[in-house]
Amino acid sequence: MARAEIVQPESPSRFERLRQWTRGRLVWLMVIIFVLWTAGPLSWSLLSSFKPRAEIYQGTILPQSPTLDGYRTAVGVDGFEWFLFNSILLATVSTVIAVFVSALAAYAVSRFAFRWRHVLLLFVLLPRLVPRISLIVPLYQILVEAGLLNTYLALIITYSASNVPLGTWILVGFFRGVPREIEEAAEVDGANMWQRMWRVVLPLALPGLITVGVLSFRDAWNEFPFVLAFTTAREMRTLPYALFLLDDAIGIQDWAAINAFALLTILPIVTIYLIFERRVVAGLTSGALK
Amino acid sequence: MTSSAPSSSGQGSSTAVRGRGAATRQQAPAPTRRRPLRYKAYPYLFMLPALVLVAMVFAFPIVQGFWTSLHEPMPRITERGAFVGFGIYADLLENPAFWNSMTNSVVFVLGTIFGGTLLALVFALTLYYAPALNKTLRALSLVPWLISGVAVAWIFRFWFNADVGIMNRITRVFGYDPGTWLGDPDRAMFVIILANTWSLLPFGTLLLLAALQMLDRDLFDAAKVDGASPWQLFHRVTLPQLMPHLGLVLVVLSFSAWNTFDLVLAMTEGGPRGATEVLALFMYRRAFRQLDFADGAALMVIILLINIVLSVGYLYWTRERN
Repeated sequence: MARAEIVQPESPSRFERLRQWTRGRLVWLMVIIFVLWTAGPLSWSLLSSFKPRAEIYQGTILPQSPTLDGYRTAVGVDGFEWFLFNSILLATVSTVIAVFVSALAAYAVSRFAFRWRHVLLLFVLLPRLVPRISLIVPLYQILVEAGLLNTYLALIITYSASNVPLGTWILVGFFRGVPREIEEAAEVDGANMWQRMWRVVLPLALPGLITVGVLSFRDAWNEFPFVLAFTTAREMRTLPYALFLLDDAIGIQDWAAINAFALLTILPIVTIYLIFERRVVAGLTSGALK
Repeated sequence: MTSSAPSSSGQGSSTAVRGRGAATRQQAPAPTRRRPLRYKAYPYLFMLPALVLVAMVFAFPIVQGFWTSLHEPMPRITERGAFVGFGIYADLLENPAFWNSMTNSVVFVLGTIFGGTLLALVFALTLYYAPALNKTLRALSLVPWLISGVAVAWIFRFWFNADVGIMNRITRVFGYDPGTWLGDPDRAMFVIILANTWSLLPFGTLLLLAALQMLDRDLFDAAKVDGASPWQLFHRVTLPQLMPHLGLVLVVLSFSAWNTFDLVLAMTEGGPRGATEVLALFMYRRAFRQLDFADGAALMVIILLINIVLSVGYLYWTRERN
């Protein structure tokens, strides 16, 4: 279209206006498609989670008589408190461990020159290339031998370890960005190494720590293969595992309850993400582009 | 690099010298005094927890899994049978179920990365040129990426449900009822590809958006002055500059798609009749449903090899760019 217009230079302003008009509309059309694609599936689930069971089978889009029955059924699933507790516990503890361990390693790499530094860093970073699903076979054997099936310990160790490679990678970048002079000034004032790390470097690298924290939390909150393979006891399940088994748990397919349950598992992580959105986006892109 | 001199490791003595800043430090490797021994131990101590975790959860299991894959399976999964070298692999390569899962994975990955990269580009451009609400749209764009594979599976199972799904609702308005989606082999593959694309796409969009924002504005201005049409601008100026990033997105998406497990298991469990059984699912079935851990371990090694090949591709793309 634009090409055709260029051939007629006698009225550029009119065609320029026309072009602007179409381009403006086109962008809006794309924005609408983008929003539909991204939010459509979610909103359909959200709307349906408020419908009474019978209404799901009728053709209405908006809930005609909104109800919280779906949410009641979801929360009422046998053992829901356990699943919620396990998810929060595992995600929180493994995030704290992952951030702490990554920060220590990244501090060492970015502040000290020592023998084998690059080899050791590579050893810590390489597991980024190892998909977690491939590990469930040998890890299961190891955990059986160690008698660690159905334990928080097994899940906490595996969850934390999965997030150390990316965490270290991101934090090395952030620590390198903290000027050495600040740390040296603190040293002149008599701060020892722990004080320098805790009071000077970590606060300055806080955006990095938050990024790693959110990423680790997301990963642990959504984790599925490990908890599927390494737990058999019902009270060890997490929310994703319970969601996986949900149609067995509530008998006939109650779509309002299924959607409600799914949304309940999504809500916390989306909330956390929205709070730290800008940091996470920056951290993610830097992690991938570097 | 200063790191070649081990005595430059510590910090803290002669602060007067070091205080001059990083530039000085880079060129003057040797501090005036030798550091106490414990300073030398610090970096290793700091790295120790990370090294231990990685060794326990990644290195040791991989070695152990490889070792298991060289032995006959035993009824008790902690035991290993006779040493058979690569016999398990040879048997796997003759197993039609293995090739079925391989084919499914290839279709699944190709579908995800081509659809995904194209959509990521379209959406990145949309977000880049969005006349308003840019921040809101960008925040929204990442939401699918936050959702667990299991939840995505349910959302799309609902979306494509034959009775209550919105897909069939819409087509029924036009007098056509497609019936079941996940019960039909080809359609089931289409739906899992769509769901996987939906869930992996945000990362690609984000990457390309960041790349767009880093593009050289001068080139645009120059091309505009020369009278380039919007299409020419995109085709001749934007796209060539984006190419390396598109390659990166392809690699990252294929990496994730090869290892997608949660979503497919929760959506189809590999069915109908193995039509959506991708490699990771086949491994899970052999090891955990049929309790053949030798096959499971061999499949782990195969999955790792695929990932290594992809990573080499990734490194190649990043090298190319720098």
